[in-house]
Amino acid sequence: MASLVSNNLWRHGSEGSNTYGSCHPMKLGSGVLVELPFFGDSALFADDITFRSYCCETVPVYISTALKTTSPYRYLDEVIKDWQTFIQVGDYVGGSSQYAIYAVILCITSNFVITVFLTVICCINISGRAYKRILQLLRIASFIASLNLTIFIVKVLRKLENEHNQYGIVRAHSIIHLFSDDMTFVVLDFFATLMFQFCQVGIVIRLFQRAQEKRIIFFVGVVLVMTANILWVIPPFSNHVKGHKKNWQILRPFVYLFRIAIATSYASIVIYHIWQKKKLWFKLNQMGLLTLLTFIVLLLLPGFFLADVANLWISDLGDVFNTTCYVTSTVITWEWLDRLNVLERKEEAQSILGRPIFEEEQQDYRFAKYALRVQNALTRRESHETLNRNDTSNSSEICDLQTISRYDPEDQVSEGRSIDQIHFNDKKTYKELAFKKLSSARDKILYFTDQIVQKSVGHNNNSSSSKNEDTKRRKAMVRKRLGLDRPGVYIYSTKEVVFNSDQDYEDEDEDEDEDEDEDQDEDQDEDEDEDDNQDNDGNSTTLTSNGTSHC
Amino acid sequence: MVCMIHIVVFLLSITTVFEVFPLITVPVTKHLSLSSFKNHYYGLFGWCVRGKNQELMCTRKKIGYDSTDVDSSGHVLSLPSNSKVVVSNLLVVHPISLAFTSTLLVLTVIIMVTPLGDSPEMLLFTALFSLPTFMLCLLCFLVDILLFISKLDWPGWLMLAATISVALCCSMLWVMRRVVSVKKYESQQSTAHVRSIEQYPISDICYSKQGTNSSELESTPMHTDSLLAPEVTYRGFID
Repeated sequence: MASLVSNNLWRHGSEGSNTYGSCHPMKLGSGVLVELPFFGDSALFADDITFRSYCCETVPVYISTALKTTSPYRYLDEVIKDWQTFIQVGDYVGGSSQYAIYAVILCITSNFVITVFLTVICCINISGRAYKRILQLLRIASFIASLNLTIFIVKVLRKLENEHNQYGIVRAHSIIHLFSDDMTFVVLDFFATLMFQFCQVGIVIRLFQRAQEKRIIFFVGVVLVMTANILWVIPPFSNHVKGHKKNWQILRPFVYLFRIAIATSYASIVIYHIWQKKKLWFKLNQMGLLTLLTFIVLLLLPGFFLADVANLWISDLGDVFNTTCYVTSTVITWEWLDRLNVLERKEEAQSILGRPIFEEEQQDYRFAKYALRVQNALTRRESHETLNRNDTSNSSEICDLQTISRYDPEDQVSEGRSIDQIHFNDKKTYKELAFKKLSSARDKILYFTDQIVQKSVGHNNNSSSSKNEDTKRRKAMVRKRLGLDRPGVYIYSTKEVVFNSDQDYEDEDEDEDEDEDEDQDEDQDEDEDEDDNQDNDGNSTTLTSNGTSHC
Repeated sequence: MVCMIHIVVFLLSITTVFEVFPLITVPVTKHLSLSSFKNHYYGLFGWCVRGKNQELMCTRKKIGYDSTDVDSSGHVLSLPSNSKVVVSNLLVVHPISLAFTSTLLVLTVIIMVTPLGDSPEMLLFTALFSLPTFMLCLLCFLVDILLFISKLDWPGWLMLAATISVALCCSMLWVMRRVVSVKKYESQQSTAHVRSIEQYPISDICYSKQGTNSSELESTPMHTDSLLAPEVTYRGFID
């Protein structure tokens, strides 16, 4: 806890510590001491008078009225000299106006209002069935951040009240110490930040459509977030490590910069994506404004870093700003992505091909293998049915589901072997075994990654939400039977696609037809009637093709 | 594609040069510094102060400044940002970043001049390697800003340009990975397409029919030996 107090002390150099002479006993010599009127009218002569001004933690405390030159009760010249020093100090132990209690309270409460407002928006306005898990995480993180700031503000007000009652002063100094002294704030802030960073990884995953890129972002993002947060919690324990204390001191600024670097990378990626989607900026009324807002909030964290290095005031209140920056840059970006998704889905619905399909979805004959898997399961089901005709249909269905989910054509053991043959255990070399173990471990990691990516930040789900649990269960069973719960499997619905026919082409046809025989003319008249009908229907030819709606 | 890898190599070469400048600041050379502030000149491996006779007096070369070092007039070292002197140890990211950028440059040159450029795995590895390179480059700039704020000299500001340059290279490498992946898929498809087309001369079909329908063939004259039989090309498919 002792080291937590020195959260930002690496920012303060040797010049930060000022000593005030008025906070130490000053020898004034001999003179007359006039007591205050409330305590009697007596005045007494004294030798070797020693005076110390009112100080709190080696910082002088002043009454504003007594500082005026017109006041009959002026401070001593030495005390006024310290006042001039006090107001010129730039950090939080100084008397700079930005550290006035009003400025600090205004800053904290405004951050609190923004955070609570965005939490309410996150809980009420934002919905996303396909990103359920990550949205839950975002809601929890926002709630924790709001709760944290609520508790913090209550504690701040109580502390200020106590200090006012006890010492007659209200200091911003004590509020700033509360950021690092209050363990509740430190712990809740840490967890909220961690969750927001995971949400940001989820947002970046949402930006990319290819499965392999999603995997890479997931791995890289999780590693970066975990590294940053593990390093963040090490400095509090560094005091217990004997020796090498100097090396530990640079860990805090390093992690601080590391967090800024991660936030900058996140901002760069999202801004690049925003730039890519510039055609959709003004498709909706509010989209332009929201895009601008997203752009600004994304630059908040890197921007605050620059403000921070330029002005220590931000750094001392940085924890409150950090929380607000994380909330805004996550929630508003999420809202922007949701609206962008609606626009993109509309465009996809109007296009012929729908969702883009990438080459990696077709590599390794994934679709063919899936078909084989289903075929194999069906074959096994038939064989089971012939063997156990007395079995109930439920048991065969379960077997069917199990075989679909278990059978993997890539499995080298099952590959090339019939289920009706007897196989002996072939002895394999250690190299083969090691390779097999490694590849199976890799496959498992990839499988679980895909599951996480798919279930938390997977593709959009167009299925309508039904409150009926039976329907949901049935749908889930069908999805499982078809293997749609596996990542990278999509279902395509057929769709009537209407093409505009070429008017010129029709006219040419008509001219050619006029040269033909009368009998054919009759037929042509019929054709023209049909064409006219089609023209009435919008001059179109109807074809059937595979439209897409991804699942 | 060819153009893109050339651009990447070019940008990375410039970035490497940019990152070399902070390494040759004072006290390695006498003319370059990361920052100059109150007659003090800060470099990567130490700091110098200009004496009354306009001569530079420098500390011994090591990464990170020592708070016990004093200049000729007896002043204790202070950083422009008023941060603690121990934070200057973070300058160690500069040589690490240079090492990463140089390695990335070598990797891209390999991609450019060897057939490994067509390998998606190699491009994936290079693109992945570009991520820590970008992070380190960004960290270098952040450390410089943190220590010297706006008192940075041009070798320090070059790190901002280097960061943007590496970010561009990083994006282009990921785009290249996509392009190569698509190309590989298309080449696989075209190979599979060629394999699926099988050519059979008509004579073979006639011979094959001989066994099945010999009575019809007996009445048909066989001229296939002297004629150049036309070929039928079709693609097999599975129901």
